[in-house]
Amino acid sequence: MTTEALVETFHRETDELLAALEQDLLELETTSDAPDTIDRLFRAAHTLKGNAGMVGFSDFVRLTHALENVLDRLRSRTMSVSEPVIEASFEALDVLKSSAQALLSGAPSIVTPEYERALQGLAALCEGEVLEAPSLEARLVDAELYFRPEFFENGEDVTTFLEEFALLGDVISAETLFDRVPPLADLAPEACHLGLRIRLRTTSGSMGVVGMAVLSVDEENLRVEELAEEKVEVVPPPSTTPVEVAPAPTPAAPAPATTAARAAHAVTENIRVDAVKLDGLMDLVGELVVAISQLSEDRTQHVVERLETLGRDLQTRVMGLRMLPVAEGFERFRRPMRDLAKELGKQIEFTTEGGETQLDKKVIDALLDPLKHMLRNCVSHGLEEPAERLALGKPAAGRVHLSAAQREGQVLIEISDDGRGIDTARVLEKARERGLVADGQTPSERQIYEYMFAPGFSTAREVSEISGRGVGLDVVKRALQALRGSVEVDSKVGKGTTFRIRLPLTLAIVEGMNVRVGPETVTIPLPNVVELIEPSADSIRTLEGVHEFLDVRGELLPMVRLNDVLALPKGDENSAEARVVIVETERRKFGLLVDRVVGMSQAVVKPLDRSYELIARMAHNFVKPRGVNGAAILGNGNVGIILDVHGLESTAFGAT
Amino acid sequence: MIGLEKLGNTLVLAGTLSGADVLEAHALLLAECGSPDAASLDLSGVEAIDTRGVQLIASFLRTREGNLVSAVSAPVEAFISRIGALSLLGTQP
Repeated sequence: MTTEALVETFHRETDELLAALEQDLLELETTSDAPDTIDRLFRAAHTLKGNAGMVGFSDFVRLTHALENVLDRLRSRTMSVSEPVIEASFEALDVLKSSAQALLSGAPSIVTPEYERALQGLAALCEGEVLEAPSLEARLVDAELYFRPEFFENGEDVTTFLEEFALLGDVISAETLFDRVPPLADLAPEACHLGLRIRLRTTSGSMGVVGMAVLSVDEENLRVEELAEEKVEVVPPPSTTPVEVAPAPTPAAPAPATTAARAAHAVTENIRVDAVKLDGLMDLVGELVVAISQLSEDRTQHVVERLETLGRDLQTRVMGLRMLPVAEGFERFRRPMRDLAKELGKQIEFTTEGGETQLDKKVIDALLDPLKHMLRNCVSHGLEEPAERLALGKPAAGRVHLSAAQREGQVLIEISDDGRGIDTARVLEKARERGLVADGQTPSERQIYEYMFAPGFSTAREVSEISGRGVGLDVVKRALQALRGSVEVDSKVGKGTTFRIRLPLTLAIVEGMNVRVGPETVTIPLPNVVELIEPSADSIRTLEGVHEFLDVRGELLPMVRLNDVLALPKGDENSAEARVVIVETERRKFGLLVDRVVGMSQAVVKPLDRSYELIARMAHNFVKPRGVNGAAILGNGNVGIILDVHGLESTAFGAT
Repeated sequence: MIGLEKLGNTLVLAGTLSGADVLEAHALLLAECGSPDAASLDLSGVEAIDTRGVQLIASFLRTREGNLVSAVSAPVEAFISRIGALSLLGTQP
């Protein structure tokens, strides 16, 4: 592993370890006597420290060491869980988070006033123990360790282990230990029974060695000792064999700033993939290779059909690699919810459900902000103060529930609270003040809820930092629409409110109806399609000489000519093949006049930023209008346009 | 692919002592080590070895305490030297 790779691994694992620390601290706060949680916290802090030591981030080591000290005292019950302990730990955690970000962006130092405050906070808990930063001078370290039994099964080997150690500094000697190898009759040849005694000179010190070793060795099978140089002169380690170790390119761990600078922008986006999914994929690729080889001998329909099936399976499985459980995203809200409730003097019981529901990683990432907005709304607007709740006969702690489930090829996410509910009269009053409702109009309950998603809409009487500026729900709605999702509201005064979000499972594939418009093929996402109408000459009416409407069984629906809004050349709209595709958004139903319907397909979405040039070349004078979501590779290999029905609606009918 | 032959009181291993071949070698050695006159191990025909192969040799030596590795091939010697396992050959630093 190169130094850059070690730094990248540090950042990736640090994110996960800090997230785990946060969850466990939250758990510890609610169940103070939780030895398992304390053990997990200690191990996470210990691993963080080791990882940081391995790449020479000494200030990061110092703070994690201080946190580890506190957790060690909790573990040994020489300190008990209390609010100051929890607060100091959270403070340190926040500083570690920002420090990790600073290191990622190449900051030369992470020592800030917040850092010092967090360090002192932890030190104060340990009776003022002063925590010195580890020296970056090279030190001699002796380690004796025994690998985990699954060492070989994990694809590891003593040679690669030694190569990785060589990255820490100069390996002076290494000796493989055989004293735990059983006789042949008891030997499980695939399990590892070996140990290693190693001496090296490293600036990472014993913590760096621990950090490296813990990846392959259990703590109880690891002994690490820093040696004074003079001790080495007098007492050589027993039965140490000088050996050749694979190239030791770096004499010592690099200086933190240099490492950080190199690491800046080097961390790539990663997805953890279930090994079972990869195995399935490997099997499928194997079958595909066999089928392709059959093609050279046999081009019968049977082989072609087999290839088609394999191609579809392959696509499904590759798409599946992007699917991740939403639980990790959900858990990220626990801490901000706790902090917000504390800030507002409210009590909340935040629960989640359906965390195993899988969603495209891109959808999860893009969903976090909208969900955060809505959850903040629940706490700040939805939930009453504890005293008010008690007076109403409700428990002092308000309940906020976040759930996910798969329903009919979509993911349904619900955020519900048991708070005061939405005062529709107040929303309507505000909507009238803002001119969103025409005089004399009596909107339905659903329409009233819709006004809350209008830009700048707020019923809050006082503007606070948390909410009340009307920046929130309109942003939420736009973000969800960009994900081809929708949101609706259900509320009962005094009982609570539920926000219901529907999302596609993935953004990478769209099920669509392909239609021909002028020279182009356009894919209309199927979730937006309501029905297909064959227009007759007298079913299309023009009002005020401009707006066209289609009479659908007595209901007049606005109609747009797709070539007009997409600025495509006119086709033959009067041919017998012309059709009106009725589509629907949350706001309205309307018709799209197209030249003809080609059929249904699954289109793989290609982002428009990369394919725009291609589209521009393909369609002469094509100007990217709102209403185009991306490009798709069609079955015949040509490039088609994927329609964004919400964007098209805004273009054709205005923003509201 | 691993082969085992018994020449006098020496077990002669040949082929590769790495990867999945270690399982086969384990089975072969297990069958032979019951023989009371199997005293030493000749590894001069072993073309490749990995850490699991080295562990297997250590296990054999443990089983037949006092037995020796009588000969090794160059690849085996290079590998066990690399991982600091020369003590298996009775070689002192």
